[in-house]
Amino acid sequence: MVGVKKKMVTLVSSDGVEFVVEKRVAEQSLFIKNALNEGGVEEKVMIPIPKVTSDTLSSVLEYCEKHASATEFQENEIEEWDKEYIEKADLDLLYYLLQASYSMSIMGLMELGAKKVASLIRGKSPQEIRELFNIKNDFTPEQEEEIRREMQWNYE
Amino acid sequence: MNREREPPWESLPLIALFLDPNSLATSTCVSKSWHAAMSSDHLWKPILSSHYPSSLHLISTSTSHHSLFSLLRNSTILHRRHRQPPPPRIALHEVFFAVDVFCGEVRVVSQGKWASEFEGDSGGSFRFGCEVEGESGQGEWRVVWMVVMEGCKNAFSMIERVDKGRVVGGNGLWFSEELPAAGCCVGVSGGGGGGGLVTEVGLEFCDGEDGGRRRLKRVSLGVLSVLGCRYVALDDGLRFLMFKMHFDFVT
Repeated sequence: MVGVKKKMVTLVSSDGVEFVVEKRVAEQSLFIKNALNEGGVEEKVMIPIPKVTSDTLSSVLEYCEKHASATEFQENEIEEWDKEYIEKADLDLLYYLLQASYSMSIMGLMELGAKKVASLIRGKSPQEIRELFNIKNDFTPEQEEEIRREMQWNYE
Repeated sequence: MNREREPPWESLPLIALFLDPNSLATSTCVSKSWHAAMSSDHLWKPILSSHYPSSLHLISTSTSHHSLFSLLRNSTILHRRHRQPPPPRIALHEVFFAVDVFCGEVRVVSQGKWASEFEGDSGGSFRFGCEVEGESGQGEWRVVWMVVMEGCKNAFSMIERVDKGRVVGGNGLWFSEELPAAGCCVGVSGGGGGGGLVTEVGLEFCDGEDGGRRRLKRVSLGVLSVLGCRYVALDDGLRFLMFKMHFDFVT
C-alpha cells in the first residue's frame, strides 16, 4: 500500500518550532517546492523557514492547507474563506503574512495580503497611513513641500 | 510590539496594483521608500495613458509618467482656480481714496480718506459714498479720483477727466471713464476692446435755499462692468486694483 501513505515534510520556523505537514500543503510555497525538488526527497526532510516565526507560520500553513485542497471546494467558497481569513488577521499578523508570503513565494497569499493593505490605505491621508503602519516620515520639509506641490491635484 | 510595522519594501509594488490614482498619489507622500515604490513608471503609465493618451509623446528619460500626470492634473486645477480667484490681498483700510472735483475755479469736493471710512455698499459691490457739503460753480467740471496704497508706494488714477458730465434725474451729475484692461477680473473681460470696466463718480445735489446755487450733498464712487452694466463685486474691484498697482509698479 505504498502511495496511500501521505508524504510529509517538516518545516522549522525561525524560533525553532517544527511543523509536520503534507508535502502537497507545503508545496503551496514555491520556495519549499523548489527546495524539495532540488533535494530529491524521498525521506523525511526538514526545511528551515528563516525569518518566519511559529505564530506566522501556523497562520501561513492554515492558508496553504485550504488552498492545497482548493479543488474540493466551489470557487466562491474559497473566496469567502480567503476573505474571512484575512479579515481576522490583525495588523501585526497581516504584516508578517505579507513578509512570509514573499520569502516563501506564496502568490495567492501575497495578493490577498496586498489587497487587504491597499484597502486599509484607501481614503487615508499620508499621516494616517504613517500612523497605521508605524512609518517614519523621512522627507525633509523641503522635499515634503515639493511633493505636496506636485500632488496638489490630489488634495482638491 | 517594538518594531516597525512598515510593510516590506518588496510588497509595495504589489500593493500599488490595487490602488486607485488618488490613493497611489497619497502613498507617494508617506516616506522616501514609499515614494520610490509608488511613483514608478509601470504604475503610472496606464493611468497617464487612460487620462491623457496623447501626452505619452512627451515622455522622455527626464520626465516620469507620474510627474507628467501630476503636471497635467494640476493644470486642470489651476484652470478651475481661475474661475474662483483667491481673495484679494489688499483690504479697504489699506486703500486711500483721494477725490477732488472742481467746477470752473470752484473746488466743489475735496475728500481724502481710507476706503473703509466711506459708506460701503450693503450689496457687496465695489461702491462707496459719503455725505459732503459744497457749492456748485460755473464752467467745466474737472473730476479726479486717485487711489493710493498705504505707505504711498503705489497710486492709480481711477478717473481724471474734464467734461460736462451726464445729467441723471433732476439732481444727479455723473462722470465715468473706461479703465484699461486688467486681465484679472472675473466676468468683466471683453467690453469691446476696452478694459470692460468703467469707473464712475456721481454727484448728488439739492436745490440751494432762496434760489441760490445748487448745493452738493453726496458724492458716490464705483466701478461697473460694461458687459453686465452693474457694479463689480467688492473683491473683484480690489483684485483689479491689486493687479493695476502691481502691474504699474513693475512696468
